[in-house]
Amino acid sequence: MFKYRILLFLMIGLLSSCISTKQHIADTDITYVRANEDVNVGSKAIDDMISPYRDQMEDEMNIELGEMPVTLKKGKLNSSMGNWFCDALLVMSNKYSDKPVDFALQNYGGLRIPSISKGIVTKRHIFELMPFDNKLVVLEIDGKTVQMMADNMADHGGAPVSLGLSFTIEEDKAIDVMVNGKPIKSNSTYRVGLPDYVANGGDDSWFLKEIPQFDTGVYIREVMIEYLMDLKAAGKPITVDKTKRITS
Amino acid sequence: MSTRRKFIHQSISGSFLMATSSFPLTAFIGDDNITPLTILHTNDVHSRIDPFPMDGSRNQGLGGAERRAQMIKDVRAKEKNVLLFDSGDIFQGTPYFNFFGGEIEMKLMTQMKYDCATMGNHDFDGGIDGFNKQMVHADFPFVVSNYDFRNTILNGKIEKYKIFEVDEIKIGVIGAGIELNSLVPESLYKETQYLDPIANAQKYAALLKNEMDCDYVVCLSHLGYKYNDNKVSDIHLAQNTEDIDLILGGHTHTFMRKADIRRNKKGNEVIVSQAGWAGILLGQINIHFEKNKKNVCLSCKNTLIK
Repeated sequence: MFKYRILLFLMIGLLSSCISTKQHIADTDITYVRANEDVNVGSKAIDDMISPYRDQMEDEMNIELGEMPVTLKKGKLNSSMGNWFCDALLVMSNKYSDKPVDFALQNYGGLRIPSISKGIVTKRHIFELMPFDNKLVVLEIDGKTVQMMADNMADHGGAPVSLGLSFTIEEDKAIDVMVNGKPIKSNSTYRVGLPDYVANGGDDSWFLKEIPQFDTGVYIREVMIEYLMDLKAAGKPITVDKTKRITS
Repeated sequence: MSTRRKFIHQSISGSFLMATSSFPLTAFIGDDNITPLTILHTNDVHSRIDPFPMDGSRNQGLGGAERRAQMIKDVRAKEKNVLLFDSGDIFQGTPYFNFFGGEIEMKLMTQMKYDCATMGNHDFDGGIDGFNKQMVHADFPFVVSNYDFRNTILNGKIEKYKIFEVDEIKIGVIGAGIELNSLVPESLYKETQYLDPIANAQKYAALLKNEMDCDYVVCLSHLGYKYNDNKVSDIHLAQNTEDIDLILGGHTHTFMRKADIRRNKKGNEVIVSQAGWAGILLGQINIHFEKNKKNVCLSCKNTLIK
């Protein structure tokens, strides 16, 4: 068992009168104990509490959605998880929107597990990856706003983004911002698929707040499950595109 | 788990001998004057009811409520005075929350006999109404010293501070909540007002220490351990207040090799601790209090090893 232990001798002198009795901190000792297989669980009481809940969702969570060809790892810059997730969001944004969508993005903090292992992907993975009740929305924005989005991502040290958008981070700003391989023009119109959390101003995206949203009405995790079911129905494998979108 | 010492004179005399070669501690104080207190803490458990699935991922097989309950039970069987705290983000992260809205999380914490918790940003994920609904399953209080819930459904239901008396030791507990704007959709936190965490933590810590005669003040914080920019964190909280002894943090999911010790505005030591996330770790803080009529701690004075 891992155990980190420190022994501290603290002198916190709470000065008091000589008459009253005072409690002084004599010493403090801090450890962090790991909840691993060394813990000998002696009672079924807790499991008995959990079981009725677990049983209600177990079958659905174990539904297999496909086979991940590689282990996905979460990261801010061109990570396998970020690329895969956003490329899927772009496909689905195009499925839901009647106008073509140029790129998709996802806030880094919204992906909630550090990795998805190579192999079978279940509904549980998708629920844990994207547990929030965030919906997929599409925004129509001008080039100036694309620049602000890219700057915001650059300022955060990068963010998951789909093919279709590329830029370089230089001194916390985005330069050479391109959409579909062409430099952005400030007055041109672009379409982006993203979580309503970001569209509503989350993660310092205050500049998106007033932009009208095309709301798909579907939670992002449901969108991702649908994406995987679509692939499965079409007999296509899951693919992960390693193309670099952000240079730094 | 290695054997934990039972009495202060055992461990202290050991360190004592390393430092000098003087009198045994018991020459100054008796066992009657030493009171132990154990504080257990978790944070960011994020609905991790079952251990992480065995799927080759980094945390596979770790955590789980059943194990945590056992660990807590084991400490309670061994230690005399135990308090159990959580620093928020109880909710969100596994399908248990999506399906049942936090009910099982609250029931399990009640079963484990948590003494107190603070709220994290994700505890608003089911909306403030969702949290209110699940509070009926929580038989323990919540403290947040810097949220004003006046115009919300939680008005009067969340404490600014809480006092626990254990074996002659009076422990005051306050809570520091993170700024919700831009982090949580307003439609979820509604009219909850975020107030300055440092000013309010100090206000209630001072009240607890100076007017309510608390011997020890603990702040359950969801501000986050520390940041690269100037965002308010547990480090700021420790350094810019005067009456907090221990900060039990959350939000940044920080695994610590050892707790961080900072100096507060008066120059006194403040311990900053955080126990990772998802119930992978249980933090355990063992404190010994020495009771005397002097204005100094005798055992400290005689065992200072630095």
